Amino acid sequence: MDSTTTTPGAQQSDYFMRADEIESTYGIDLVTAETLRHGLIEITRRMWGTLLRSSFSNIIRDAMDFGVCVHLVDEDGSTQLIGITEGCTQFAFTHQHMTNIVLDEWGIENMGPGDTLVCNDSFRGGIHNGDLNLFRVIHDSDGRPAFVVTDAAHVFDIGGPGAGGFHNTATSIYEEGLRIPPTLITSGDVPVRMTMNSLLENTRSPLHMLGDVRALLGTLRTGEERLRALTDRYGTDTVKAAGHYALGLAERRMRRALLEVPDGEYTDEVTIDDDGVVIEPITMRVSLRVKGDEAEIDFSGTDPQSLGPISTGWQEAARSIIGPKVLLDPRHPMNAGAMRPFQVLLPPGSMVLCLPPSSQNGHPELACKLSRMMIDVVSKAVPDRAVAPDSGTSGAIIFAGTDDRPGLEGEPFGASLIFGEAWGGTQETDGISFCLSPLFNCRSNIIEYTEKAVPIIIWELGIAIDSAGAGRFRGGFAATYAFEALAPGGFTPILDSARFAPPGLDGGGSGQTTVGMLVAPDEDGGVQAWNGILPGERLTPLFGKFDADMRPDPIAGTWDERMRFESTKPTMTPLRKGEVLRVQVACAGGYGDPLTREPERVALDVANERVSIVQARDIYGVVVDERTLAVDEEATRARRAELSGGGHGPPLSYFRDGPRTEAEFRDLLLAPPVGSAVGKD
Amino acid sequence: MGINDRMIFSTPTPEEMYVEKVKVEGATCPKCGSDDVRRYGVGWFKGPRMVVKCQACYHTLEVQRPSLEDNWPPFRAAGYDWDPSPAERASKDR
Repeated sequence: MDSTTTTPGAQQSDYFMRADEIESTYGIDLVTAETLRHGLIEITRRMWGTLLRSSFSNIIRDAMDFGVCVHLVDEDGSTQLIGITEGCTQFAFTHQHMTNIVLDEWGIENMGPGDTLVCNDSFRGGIHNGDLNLFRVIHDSDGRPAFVVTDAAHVFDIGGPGAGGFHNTATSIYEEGLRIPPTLITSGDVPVRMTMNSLLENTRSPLHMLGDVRALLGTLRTGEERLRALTDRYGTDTVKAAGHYALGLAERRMRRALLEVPDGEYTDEVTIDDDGVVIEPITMRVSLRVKGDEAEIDFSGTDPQSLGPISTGWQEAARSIIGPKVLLDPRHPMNAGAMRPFQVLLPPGSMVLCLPPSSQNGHPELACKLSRMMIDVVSKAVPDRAVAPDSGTSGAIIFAGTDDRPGLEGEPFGASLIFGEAWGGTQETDGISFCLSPLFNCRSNIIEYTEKAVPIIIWELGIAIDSAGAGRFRGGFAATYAFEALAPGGFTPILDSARFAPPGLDGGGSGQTTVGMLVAPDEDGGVQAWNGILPGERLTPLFGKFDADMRPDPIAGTWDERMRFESTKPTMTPLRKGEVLRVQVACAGGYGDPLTREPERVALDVANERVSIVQARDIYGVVVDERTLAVDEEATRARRAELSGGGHGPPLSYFRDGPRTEAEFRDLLLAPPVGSAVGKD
Repeated sequence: MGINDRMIFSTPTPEEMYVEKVKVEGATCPKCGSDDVRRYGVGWFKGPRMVVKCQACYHTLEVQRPSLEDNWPPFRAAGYDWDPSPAERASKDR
């Protein structure tokens, strides 16, 4: 049985169904209903394993940027998603819409046994053209469409000017690479040659594409085999009845959770740095109207679509439900039932419903900000579950090129380097570190796999001390990482939150902003950082805010002519062999006044070198002995009284007064670590 | 309607964008009696739909599949209403 997380005051029976109710509504008994509800999810677990083990692109097999789903077919030919498992979260929302849109256009009645459609179009419910979405209809013994199995995965390259499927400065969909309307990729289980050739001739790495497409097709066959095992044992009608039960249960739980939200209109807005082409901030706005057990999500008031490629064409009609799902019914398995209570209003021509031929290639940065905004607005509706704003960026870098190492000359390579952003603090705990936006939830790259697949050395992967938003419960730390190119290539950042720091909530502080730079290797030829800190004289800023001594400074730093780029969003910038690219991803906001954080928690952060002695004293008002790590309680009381005087408010992102020169950096490395006297007395 | 009208759009000009809600003349909400009933496009769990909805109590009177004239969503494939070719139904008709 799933978690019994409920809203205070609600009865458990409000969230679950009784056996007699299940029998009278769906015509099956409780045990069968629950067995099959889990059986449908188990099908997707098998599909998950097949795709993970057989795909070629690192972003699929390492980062898990994929989704695998089972849908049932209703009498009118429309479909409902009844099973999905771990993977990239957003597919749990978009594939419900996309399956309906694609099969409506193609005509589900035209699909025969062994037919598979492929589509990557973001104006048809896809996310971006780097994702191949496949659809296979499963018929009952009378030849009627009964179920659909679908999968989607971000293949490494789909052509276009920028390797890796991202072209940050595209201004039309024609500049993105291959656009695939619904197209047969197998007919009667035989690959359609012209479709396969079209895919293989429009990618920089046919080997990766062929491996990934075969993996996607095999995954759908696994799904069909497992589904047929269920229908052979229980009968198609019973399995479909169980699917309807799963949908009804998810709907009931979401409606019950909405009833606990006070009726009313809640509003929020979020700002994106720029679109990569026009260097101006972009604002999205939302109104969440809750009435009884239904809600309307209205994006009216959002800015017009951008010239650069970060507006989206239908995705937010589905993805916006991430906020209610995460905060209102987070633990129950996702299916289309949880989407039934919501209607989403998207102004045509706006950032959330751009018009063709707009480019949507940079969708991840809008997606991260939208996800944050939706969690923020639902947090206002249920403040006891509020979460402070997250990093609001995917924090990723695409690095691609052609290998020139001995024995590998001419081999195309490419990887999406994803090491994680951070989530905001809550009323109960610190924010999660190294975790992508809830909308993505992909897995961080595995260093060894990545270094094997791509000609790079990852010199640094960690946190930057003092960079998380302070708070009673502080924000999480996002990744700080540096890698050296072992072969020439180009990099495309998928980044934002460099101009506007992720804010805190309820008195919490802001997190650090995103910065990017090149790093000169040290005298040993490597890159050694101290808790995410390097001497300013070794850094060449690329984007973000730096101080006069080239140290990242989110408060007083400037983004000026010293930086190579005006935006975090250039495309395929050359990275020469031996150059080291380094990124500090924006960190999340804190929750609550940092002066109310338990001093022992601050001391623990100091011991773990997450928070410095200086930040502990100046932002948290906690005086910690550098050698023993003991909290000086009297000095702490005095310091907190002093800080809570006039002018006290949520702290800005913290500026770490790091070393300027190599000599200062060496002093830092050689200094005794904090807590050097612990256990010695 | 020309083929370009659903596939290529000019850049919108308004500074802020709003959803147009068309008043349904003569309709009243069966739940609260308000005559402020409007029809507009939404994303619903089954994809793009038109709703007829009371603006006073947000009761949904009707959910409809969009017609071609609704332009909802704005993009629609040129061949949406064309008959499938024999090749596209090959395994169905086998």
